[in-house]
Amino acid sequence: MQRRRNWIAEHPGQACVVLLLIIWSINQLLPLMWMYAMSLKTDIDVVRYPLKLTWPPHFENYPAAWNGEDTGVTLGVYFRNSALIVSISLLILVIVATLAGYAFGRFDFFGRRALFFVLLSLIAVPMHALIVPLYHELKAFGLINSFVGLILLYVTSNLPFSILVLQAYFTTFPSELEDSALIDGCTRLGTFWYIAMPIAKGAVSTIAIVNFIGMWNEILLAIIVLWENKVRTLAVGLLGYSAQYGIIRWGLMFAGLSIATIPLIVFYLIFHRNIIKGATLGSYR
Amino acid sequence: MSETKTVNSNASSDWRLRLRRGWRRNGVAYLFVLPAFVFLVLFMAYPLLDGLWLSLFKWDGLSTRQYVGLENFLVIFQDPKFYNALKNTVLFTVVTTVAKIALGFLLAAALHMEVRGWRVFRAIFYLNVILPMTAIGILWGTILNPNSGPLAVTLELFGAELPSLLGDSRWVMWVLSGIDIWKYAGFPMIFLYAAMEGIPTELYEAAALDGVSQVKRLWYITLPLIKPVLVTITMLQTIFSFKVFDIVFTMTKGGPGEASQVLTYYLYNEGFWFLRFGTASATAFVLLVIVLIFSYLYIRQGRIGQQEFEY
Repeated sequence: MQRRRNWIAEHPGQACVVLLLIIWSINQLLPLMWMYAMSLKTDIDVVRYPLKLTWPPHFENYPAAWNGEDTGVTLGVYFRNSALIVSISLLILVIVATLAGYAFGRFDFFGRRALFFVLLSLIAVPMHALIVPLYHELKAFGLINSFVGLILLYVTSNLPFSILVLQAYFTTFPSELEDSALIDGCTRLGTFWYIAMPIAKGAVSTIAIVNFIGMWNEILLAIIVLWENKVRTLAVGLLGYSAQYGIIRWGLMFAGLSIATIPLIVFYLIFHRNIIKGATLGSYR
Repeated sequence: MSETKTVNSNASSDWRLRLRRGWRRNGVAYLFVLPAFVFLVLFMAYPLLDGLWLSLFKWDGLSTRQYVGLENFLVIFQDPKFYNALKNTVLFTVVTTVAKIALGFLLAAALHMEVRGWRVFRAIFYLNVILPMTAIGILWGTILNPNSGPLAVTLELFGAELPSLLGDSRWVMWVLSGIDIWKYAGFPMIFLYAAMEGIPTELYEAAALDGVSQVKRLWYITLPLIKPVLVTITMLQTIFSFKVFDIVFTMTKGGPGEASQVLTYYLYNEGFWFLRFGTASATAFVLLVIVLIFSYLYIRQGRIGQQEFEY
């Protein structure tokens, strides 16, 4: 204890900094901790003792929340929907973006500059401004309330940025590998599949991870495509909790919020380095 | 595969020769970019033009469209609710961007000192950024509950009362701003921290030798050197903040009354609640123009900033 006090006296600057870091950490984590604590209580206890932990922990809130008992918020269904939509969107996005990024980065073809310019300008377009025409377009294709509709939109909205990142990545690689493969008789598609894709694995995984988070939490496009309750994504489905009337099942609600956040936190704990690195991609090199 | 040069080649046949040559050599490139551009044309370019076109019509989605020219724009520019939404959006953008950049800078500087375990702190500070806004919004809604929320109960212990912050038109935008700042302060922090990492340590060492204090070092060395990135991330943050929708949709739906109305939500409402797709498209056009202006500035700044940084 005395050693720590000496350290604080000797490094006042650093001590202040550590204090700031700790205070902000508490500020960031406390609401989440509270949420998890509340999720293990009965409904009455949530209202009666919002500041205390009660015993025993009521884990049954969790399966009840998963099934949507009493709340109509069927997290299990929403989870499955989100998982399906996001994973398929990511798969398509990665393939299409890598193909295009590879082409822009490797080949010099007629019109490349023009197309690239178009791509750059599309990055700035916010999907928010397109929700009206997109809705009617999807309606005309019969893709409202369909996963396919949302998948198409998710792929499109993330394409320009992803292509840009991949293209930049490909231009940093010498083409000897592919040249030798071509001499040996490999087709262009072959060089893409066997050489380019493995090389780009790092960039691809970062793009996948960053876009995963964006797609998972997205609500604006989700609410204009998926209107029926049973096809909704998780982020949208959670809103069902704020529309409760009468007797609110607080315990279930907090359990639901916990179910929605814990997988993301686990994902984050595993990939946080990639996520943080990917966040700065392209905007600051 | 030798190419024979034609004796009398003029500009146009030269163009066609290049095209054919390019196709033979790199035709596959077109196939590679094709799927991407199919997506982009179908779901970005076409809706963009369609939306622009639609803003000149009156339409409820069911009956036939009625051409009204620029009347939709006149309608929204004379609608006090539109200006209210615009005002709220601008206010929200300014307040949250300034706060987030300032906070992000301080946090990045704190991390930059690399005290023991700074990586843990960095991870904690970015965590809330990736959580769904819907969950966070509902959580804070219950925290701020004036009757049974933990904040209210804590204040009661001190004999104070918690007003209904989200139900008070004077406070609601401030509360939403606060929650947004709470959630996203880590976002600019990451960028600014990355920028700080690029500063050569010799500068700090020299300053320390000269007896310059930590704070002065921060102000006179760190801050100027990361200025390009600072400006860039401020613009990026401005663009994001301007498109605010999720937090309003989750917590207040524009209420109470119109107190927390923002531009994107106004657009959504006009279209999908009132079924006035014409005015909605006009609003979308306004939103688009504003965002594009900032985006153009951002890209330009990014290029300038990159050049400046690579001295």
